[in-house]
Amino acid sequence: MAASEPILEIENLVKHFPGPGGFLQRSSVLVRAVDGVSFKVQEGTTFALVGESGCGKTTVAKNVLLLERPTSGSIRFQGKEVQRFSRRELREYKRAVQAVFQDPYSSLNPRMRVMEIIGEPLQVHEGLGGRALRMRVGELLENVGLNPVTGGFFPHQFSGGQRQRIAIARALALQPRLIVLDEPVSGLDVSIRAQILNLLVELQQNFGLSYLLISHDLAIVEHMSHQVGVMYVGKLVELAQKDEMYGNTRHPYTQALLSSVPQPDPDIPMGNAISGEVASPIAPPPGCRFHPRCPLYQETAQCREQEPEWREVVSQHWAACHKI
Amino acid sequence: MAGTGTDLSLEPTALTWPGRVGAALSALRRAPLVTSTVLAVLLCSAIFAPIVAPHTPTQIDVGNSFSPPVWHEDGSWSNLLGTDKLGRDVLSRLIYGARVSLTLSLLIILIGGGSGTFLGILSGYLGKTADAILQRFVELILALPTILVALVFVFTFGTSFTSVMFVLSPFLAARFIRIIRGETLTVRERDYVAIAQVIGSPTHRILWRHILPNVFNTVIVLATLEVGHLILLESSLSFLGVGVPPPNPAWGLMVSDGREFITSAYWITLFPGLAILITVLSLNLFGDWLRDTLDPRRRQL
Repeated sequence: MAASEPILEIENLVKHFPGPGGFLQRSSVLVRAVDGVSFKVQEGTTFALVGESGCGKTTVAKNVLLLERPTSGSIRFQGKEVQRFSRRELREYKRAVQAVFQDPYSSLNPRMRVMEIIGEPLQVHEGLGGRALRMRVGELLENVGLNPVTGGFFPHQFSGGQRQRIAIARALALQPRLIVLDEPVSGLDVSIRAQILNLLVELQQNFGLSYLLISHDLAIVEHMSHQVGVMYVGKLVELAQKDEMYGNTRHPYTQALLSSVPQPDPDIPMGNAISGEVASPIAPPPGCRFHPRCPLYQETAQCREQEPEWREVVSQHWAACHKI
Repeated sequence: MAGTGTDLSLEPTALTWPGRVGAALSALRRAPLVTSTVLAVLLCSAIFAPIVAPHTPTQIDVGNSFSPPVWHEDGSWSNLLGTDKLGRDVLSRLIYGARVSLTLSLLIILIGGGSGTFLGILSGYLGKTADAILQRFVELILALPTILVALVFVFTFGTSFTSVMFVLSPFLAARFIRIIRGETLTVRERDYVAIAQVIGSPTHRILWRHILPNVFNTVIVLATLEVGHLILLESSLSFLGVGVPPPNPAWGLMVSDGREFITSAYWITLFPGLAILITVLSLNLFGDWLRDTLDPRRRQL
């Protein structure tokens, strides 16, 4: 698995936002949303970025989608630096990289018909229109398991799961290489999550897609991904292949996250659920950012003062913790 | 590939044209009856003024001046609502006055509201410097007393239909810019706009296809409410003598003309005053209804 070329390489990505400022004055604090994140997405595989809300995983996605400009660091797509793209390369990038967002009620324009929604990328990039456009949209609707006649409907005539299928069809329209899935099923009823996830896996196999999956749901990540990175307050704390990550968890934060996943068997006792609040990205704790909540923390100065080093603890398995 | 099996329980009723027209009609049926009737009568009399009006509005008949309305002892059927100091028929002047008021308001709505919507969307979507500069201008305009500026402007450039139009349009535009900008700021944050950016849709396309249709409800409602406001402004200006120049029949002007005779010939001021009151009230009520109807959270479909 994942022996192929990296399609997306993110190196030392940093994104700081100006914090809440006062009246008529510039804010002096910085929100360190992403504070040095590096990972690679291999061609044809799924890389999952996991973490609690506010850990910066969506900011990473927005940087990849060029909706935000990174403060520093580099994003390389098929070996080329995104920040230095020419106009033509940028256009190609916008064809090759698509997105599916969390809320299918916000991601479809209520004033457009499904035909126009899915057709928009085709009109913008290929100037398709008329019959050719209708044919192509019909195909795409079939790809995601919707009836082609639904092209004439408006989004409000669909259920949440169907809307998410439409969003996926739009993302597929330009035959992309990489799709950023930002919490693709969190907004859906549990009963239809599996359908959408299976659809995404199926499409990945059929079209050789690469996914960057942003999620807080470890069950979904286990189902879909090949590689997993765990983020905490703007930094990666652990990164490994999926089986290694779930079978041989090293970082106490990842362990805490995994043990907080509800088990379907009531006889299995709940693990040591993590306590306390996520640290603030405005003033992250010194040393290891996780130490105030860490079950392994024993008042050692090392955890309190020294930032843990990002190192390969086992082959192909990285983590940042003093205790392992 | 055969999907993962959801059934498409979609009702295709709302799709067809008859369905949509029917929906529009049934919405209109729930419209406030009195308000819509008043507005319909007003609109018809403005459009068909030459047919509806019993007399020419500017026809002077000094021998027949201060003739009272028909229900007075010495009133006549020829002048239903009486005549003014020059013997002109009040009813005919009211009907033609509706024409002046409505044309002026609609033109100002088109010019001021149109440009205000455009600039508001730009300001809200582009943000940054363009937004900051535009908003300072808007604040400036909104801080100015409308009537006073209009007085100065019209004294400088002379009273005419176009002067009034020119001086009122920026004030209207400023109000539109403020509200449409705010509306744009919320629409801009929707995910479909972000997706359009990811796709690489050009900015003009995003503004035209994604932002404008989603702020258009607000534009319509605002326009309806502002027509009433404009009629009031135009009347005030005419009353002060800087609006539509005489002998054109404008409601404000009629009120102003009859002011000296209010004790002896109340009808010269009362009827145009009532016309202003009823029209503005109806437009405001209609605007409220429209706002509620177009708001999806209140719509029962």
